[in-house]
Amino acid sequence: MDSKKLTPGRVVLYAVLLLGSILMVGPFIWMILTALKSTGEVSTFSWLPTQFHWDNFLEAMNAAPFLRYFGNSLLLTIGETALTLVFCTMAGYALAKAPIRGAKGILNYFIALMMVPFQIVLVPLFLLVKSIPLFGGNDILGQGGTGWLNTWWALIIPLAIAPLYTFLARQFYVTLPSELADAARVDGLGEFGIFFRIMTPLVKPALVTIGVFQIEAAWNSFLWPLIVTNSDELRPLQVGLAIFSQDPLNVQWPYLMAGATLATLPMIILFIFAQKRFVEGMASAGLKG
Amino acid sequence: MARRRAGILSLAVAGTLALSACGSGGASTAPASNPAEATGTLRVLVPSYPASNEGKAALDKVVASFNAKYPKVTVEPDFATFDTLNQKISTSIAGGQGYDVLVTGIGWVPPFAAKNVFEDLSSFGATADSLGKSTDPALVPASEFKGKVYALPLIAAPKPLALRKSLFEKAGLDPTKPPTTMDELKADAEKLTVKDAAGNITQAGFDFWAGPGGYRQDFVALLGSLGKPLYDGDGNPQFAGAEGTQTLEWMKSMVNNVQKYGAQNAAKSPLVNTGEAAMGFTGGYIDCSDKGVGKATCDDLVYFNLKDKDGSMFTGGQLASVGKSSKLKSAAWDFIQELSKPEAESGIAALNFAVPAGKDSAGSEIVKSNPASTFVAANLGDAKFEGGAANWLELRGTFGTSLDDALLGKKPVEDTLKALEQQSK
Amino acid sequence: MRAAGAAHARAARPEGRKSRLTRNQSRAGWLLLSPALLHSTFFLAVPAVVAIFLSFTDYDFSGTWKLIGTENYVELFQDPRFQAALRNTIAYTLVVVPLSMALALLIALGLNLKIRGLGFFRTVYYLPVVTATVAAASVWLWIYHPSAGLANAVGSLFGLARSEWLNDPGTALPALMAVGIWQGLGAKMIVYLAALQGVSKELLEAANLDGANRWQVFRNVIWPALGPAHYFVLITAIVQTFQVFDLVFVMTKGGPVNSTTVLTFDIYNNAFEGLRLGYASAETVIMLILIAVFIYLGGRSQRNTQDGQ
Repeated sequence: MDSKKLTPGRVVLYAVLLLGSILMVGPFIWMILTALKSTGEVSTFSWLPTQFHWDNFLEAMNAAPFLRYFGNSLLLTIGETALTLVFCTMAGYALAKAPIRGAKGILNYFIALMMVPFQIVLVPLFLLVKSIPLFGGNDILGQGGTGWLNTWWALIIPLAIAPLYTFLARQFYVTLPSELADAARVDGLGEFGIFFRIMTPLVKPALVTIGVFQIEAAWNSFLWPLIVTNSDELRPLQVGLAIFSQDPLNVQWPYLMAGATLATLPMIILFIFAQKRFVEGMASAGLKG
Repeated sequence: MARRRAGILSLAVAGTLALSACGSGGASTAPASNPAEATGTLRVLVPSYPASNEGKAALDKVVASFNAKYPKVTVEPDFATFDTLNQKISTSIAGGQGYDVLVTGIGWVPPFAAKNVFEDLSSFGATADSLGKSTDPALVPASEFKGKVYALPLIAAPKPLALRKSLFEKAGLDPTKPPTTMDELKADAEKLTVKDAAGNITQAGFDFWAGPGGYRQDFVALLGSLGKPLYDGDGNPQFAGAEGTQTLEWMKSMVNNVQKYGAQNAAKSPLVNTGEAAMGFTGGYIDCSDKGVGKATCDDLVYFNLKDKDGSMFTGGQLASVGKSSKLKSAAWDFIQELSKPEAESGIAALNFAVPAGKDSAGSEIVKSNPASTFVAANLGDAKFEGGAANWLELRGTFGTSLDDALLGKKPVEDTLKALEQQSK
Repeated sequence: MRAAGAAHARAARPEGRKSRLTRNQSRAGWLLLSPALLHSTFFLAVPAVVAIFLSFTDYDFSGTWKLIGTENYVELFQDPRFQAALRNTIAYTLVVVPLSMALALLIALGLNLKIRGLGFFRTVYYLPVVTATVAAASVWLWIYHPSAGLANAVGSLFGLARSEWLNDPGTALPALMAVGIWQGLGAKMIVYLAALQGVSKELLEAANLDGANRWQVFRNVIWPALGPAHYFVLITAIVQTFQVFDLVFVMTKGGPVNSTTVLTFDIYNNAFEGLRLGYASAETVIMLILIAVFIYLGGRSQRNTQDGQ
């Protein structure tokens, strides 16, 4: 498996990958190029702008307090991801390794919950969040006030710790040999210690994967923040970007794409770093056994 | 085990749902008879103002003017795009915290009036006549349902017709004599259609500016030229008669004749603006600057409406209503009045590329700024609307799809219209 | 399949200690599990149950509602838009799930080799996941444009007839399927990549030493190790494909003539355009049952491969 030799198989592989890359990257390139066009140019489809309007980026960011929106999205994302990484790995490990009666049933329960589409959960969840007892002016029965509405609680907690990530974590923990735990137990390590110090470090690729997915979901969340907030202080990035597509018939494409490009950049940078960790994970997996 | 939990919970939550729907929540208090003494929070949902700095500044002016009369009432604006408006409104209703002021689009009024979401404005003395004194009378029917007024029109977003002078001249037609009836339109369009060697249309004779499911508003405009609205003032369908059949048959003869079905450019802009069509529906605002389509294109465009039995121009728009569950109804009414003052309306019109609904709109900045807005403001009398049925929001999707069925020849025209007539409530 | 070299016999334990140990582990397990379990129950299960309850009512945001038994369900099965949505969603899922899984696996395998530009390729294949749906929609609308688009241009090179793509009821759904596959590749690829990192190096080396060729290594070492990842990708692919919404909303709005109407889109229409939440909830319940059936069938088809459970 000499990685440097250019066999015919390699050439075909490179060719196919490159061809696919063009298709993958096309819309993204278009996004950037459109951000550089003038408003009139976008009435017909084209790839290249006649002039590179770099000031579109500045104008887009000045149209609203995007720095604050960026900070809000950051807070929202970090909050959700921290919660997810902690509690979903715990639950995933428990479902994979702990002798819980009905573990299979509970896994199916999580999978079933994954199936419920968000559009139909929207109204009941809104009601629930509004009726959290003892928050936002509510009494003990959750009546009379606004509960978690328009607070960071409502933004971060309901959408974190989703069953999807618990499921993913479990599938990774399941591949680990139980003998490791037995050995650690003989050495006197407690259950939580086994989870935290032995098992979890072995599924670093899982942590990275869960992190990447959750961060992307939180960063791009739009509908739920739109519904539960009404104040500008809490508005995250995607809701902020919606000002450019306020009227579906008069979308301000250059500004929208400029904003979208800037919003996507952190995701990409994050992923570049994260996928380097994949390689690291590959190296450490050899420690097993 | 999960099931047992769910069983108990469902009862509890059904109860919560019932309680919330009945309960009031929200911090609004009962209005004092003196505005200067009234306290509380006025929750306003005005998608007309985007949450950008520009939008906020414009809304702040209105709020300041309102607060001059109601110094102790706090205005709490909420944000939504038109795509997500219904989700905002419905969650607020379900949560028992309806908005005090709501701005919605034309066609929204009958459904929400029927659902008791909007307040009947006659309690504030608003009738069709009184409205017609300050607003262009052509827009008043859009704010009515079963004879009562439920909204104040703020802005109008018409879709006029336009033609390209240069392409008209090239085909030997006179651009100063635009077609006035559907038959004339078709005759001209057929002369203007250019096809390539393979028979594909390279220049559409007439652009409907519609994708699949989007021929609905064109239908309204064309039906209107024959003197029929989509629904009458009581919500009865008017489109299934002879005029409706004539209109739909005409559209069917145009589709795949002068323009391929659903043909749009990838930017979904009006083809007459880009020169890909010689005539067609277009927007009520055009940017003639260098950042927009440019002066040459603007000079080449001639705007017109059909005028058969009646002048007809499809018009959308935005109207402001008072929430029925509001605890500050007088304050809400005064807030709406602020929104409909000429300066505020001009601001909203500028932000939404539309024209103010007031009678003196011809003098506003945006109307004077470009030929499209000037034309539509001068011709608001021809306005024709979609909507009018109490289940319009639900029906409009099916309406568009059914029209396509007829246009593609999958169903006979008369049957399609009769089926839609049956589905209208 | 346990990693070789790690097995050593469990020491025999006296009865009392064994059960106490298990109880200990079980209790710890419950403690680890409960936060996520409680969270999901409160924030997902409870709203879902409310939604199921609503499906038996005529709730339409108008302040008065009543229980109407199974009327919504009866009406649904006679609703032509629901029938179209049902057909389209099932067809869409049957095509997109296997194809996107297979492609994602192939790409992951390709990107697992030590090739030049590994980081570049991986990032590029992940891009569709983060590209704004509106941006992707605009480019694909251009690709599918009947006269000025790439698809017909490429097709004519191969002598194919010009197609109307998204404007033709016959080709609109397949066209969307292609976009769906494109959009979902990156995320699946990541999971497969992460799982591929976990394949034991010892086994790979042992197989190579035994003289196994590429295909044998894949079939006997890699494929079984991917079992749990496979199961995850399959389940989530079924669920997420069944729930396709953004694409339809941005590109075709269900048209032309309902040929691309899918269940979540119809549910959204019924809930927030028609404002009939009870009716939409009934439709959701039917969709949930369908997804469960698909998952069951999909899970069964995995029995012959290494059990991911």
